[in-house]
Formats: sequence, C-alpha cells, structure tokens
Amino acid sequence: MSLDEWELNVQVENPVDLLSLAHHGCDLRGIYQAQDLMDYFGMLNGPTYLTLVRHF
Amino acid sequence: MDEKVLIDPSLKGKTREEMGLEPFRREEIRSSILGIPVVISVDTIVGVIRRASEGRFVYGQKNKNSSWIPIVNRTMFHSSTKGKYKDLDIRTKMLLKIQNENLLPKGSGGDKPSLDHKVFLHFFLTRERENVPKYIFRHLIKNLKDSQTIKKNFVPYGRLLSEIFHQGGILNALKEVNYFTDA
Repeated sequence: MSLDEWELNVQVENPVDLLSLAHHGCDLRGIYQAQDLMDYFGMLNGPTYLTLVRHF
Repeated sequence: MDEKVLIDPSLKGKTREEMGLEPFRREEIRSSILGIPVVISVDTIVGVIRRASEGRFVYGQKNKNSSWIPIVNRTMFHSSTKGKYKDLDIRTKMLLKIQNENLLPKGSGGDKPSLDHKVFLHFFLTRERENVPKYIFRHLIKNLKDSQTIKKNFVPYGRLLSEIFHQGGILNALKEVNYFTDA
C-alpha cells in the first residue's frame, strides 16, 4: 500500500517566541535551557520546503 | 529489507549484503529526493539542532500498568491519581502545547497526551536531561511507518527535515540541475 505524494499533510513546526511568553508572565526559558534546546527554537525560524519534504 | 524478500523469495534468510543492500550499521532512515540519496540518523538530527544525543530516553510505553503512570501524575498534577487538563498550571499547559506542536508533533487527537508524551513532559518539568534527538528520530520513524502501513497521511517535522536537506547540500544540488524552485 502506498500513498501519493500530494495526499501527504506535512506538519510544520510553529516558531515559539519564548521572550514574548516570558514577558507575559510565562517564562519557560529556564526549562528549555536545561534541556539545551535554545538552538532548536532558533532553527524553527528558517524556511520550510514543502515540496521537497513530500518527495522524501 | 522485507520488501526485497517479497519481490524475490529466494532471498529469504540471506544477509543484507547477500541481497545487495548496504550493511546494517545503525538505525537510519534512507530515502532519496529525485535520485539524490538522503540518509537520516540520530547524528543528523544532533547536527541540525546542535544538541548532543544524551540523557534519559523512555519511549513506547504501554498505557496499562506502567510504573511511569504514578510518576508522571505526581509531576503533572501533584497527586497520585490521574488529573484533568484543566488542573494543570499555565506553564505546564504551555509546555504541553509547545511539545505537541514541535518536539513530539501530534497529528490529531486534541491536546490529550499519550503516556509517551507525559513522560517526555515529566523530564522537562523535573529538568532531568532528556535525549531529545533520539525522541525526534523515533517519532519520525513511527510516523513514516504509519504513513506506509495504516495510510496515515501525516508527515511531522517539516521544518526540521528542510534544515536537514539544506545542510546536506541537497538544495544546492537541485539548484545546479535547475530542477524546480520551491518557495
């Protein structure tokens, strides 16, 4: 059984603005720093190539 | 590998090398884009999110009788029994939200977390170091498998995969042959 490429829904991650969250009284930076994930959230702001991901 | 056996039954019981496949070195996702091979392993993800693959890793828990259930209930709801979503404090809700969207994306099913998701959240709350790249890798494999077997048309980590393609030089290779553009 196989799927056609155009049937695939690609879920793209949402960028998270941790600074703004902290400003609104919900500071999660410490938690993500403890997991060393700050680079990950920076990475989320780049471009996404939907067609390529479907080809994958 | 099993597919190869289906195509040619005489290959049954032979090693990967005898079938003409690449030897098994580690867990990898192999695919190709327009003929350019792409290999994704835990190390690839480590390189992209720049964070070492180390820490706790608990995945694939069955919901019944797991010793993790009382532990996660205590960290999430501060009680030994199962609480409700509304009982979570705002930071936990936010963490869960970010986790469902980004770190362990869920295709459907609302905000109700599975036990795997709860354990993942538990380590964040206790600030115990967790093997995030391995989680992402396993989660990606599970979703790719589902798309081949139960026809679930859902691919997670669109952005992460794009970054892998980018750093792997695939974009440049495609640009050279002028195949297509994708904004």
